[in-house]
Amino acid sequence: MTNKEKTNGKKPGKSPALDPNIQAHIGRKLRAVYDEVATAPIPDRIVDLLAKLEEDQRK
Amino acid sequence: MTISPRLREELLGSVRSLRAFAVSLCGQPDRADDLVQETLVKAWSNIDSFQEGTNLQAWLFTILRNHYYSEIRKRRREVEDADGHYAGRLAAHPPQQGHLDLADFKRALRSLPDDQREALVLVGASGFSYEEAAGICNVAVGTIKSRVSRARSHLAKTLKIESDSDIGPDSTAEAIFSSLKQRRA
Repeated sequence: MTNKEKTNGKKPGKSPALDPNIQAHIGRKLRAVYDEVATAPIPDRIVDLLAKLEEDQRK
Repeated sequence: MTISPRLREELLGSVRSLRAFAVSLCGQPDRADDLVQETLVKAWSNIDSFQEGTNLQAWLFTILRNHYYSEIRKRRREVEDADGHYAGRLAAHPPQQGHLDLADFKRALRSLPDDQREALVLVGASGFSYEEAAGICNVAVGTIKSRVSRARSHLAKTLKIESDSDIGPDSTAEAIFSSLKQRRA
């Protein structure tokens, strides 16, 4: 492998050079990592902050 | 300053994905929640500058991202050689063999240059279009496409992902490399 692959002069916007199966695999893993956080309960300190912001707004 | 009930609902609805994006940016859950809090305070106090009916989520992501990078610039001015950084990580972690589990994937994701990781996350996980991601990162659409593509290639190489066929990880990686070389030749 050469550095050409990293700094290739490929025009942006072309379709990715990866096998669609591999791309789909990466996509599934990526969403699994993301959803670990995105589906978790919102921490109390953020819930409290939102409540405070709303309270301030009513004043 | 007033916030309509609809806007309020949308704001609340964006908190979960904001957190996920923040973790992908900084890699630390506690720091990510700080970022989300700071973002919400900023958004709340600048809500008048938001045009209702446009993409609130993209607006919030933009605030969080700008805030994150300005904090980084404040904290350390050193220039990071993204390629050197990447190569160092590769050397530190021998290539993973066998199946790809989530811990391997997270490590590989963190080893990506920041600009590639955020582009990949925005498009591949947050559900933004290339155009929206370009707006959030303040770069051309082609730049986002190129970053996403390079991010995927790096991940595939780092993880030596097995394809759906029966060939082993090493030969899969070789197939990826040769296909990359062919397409770019």
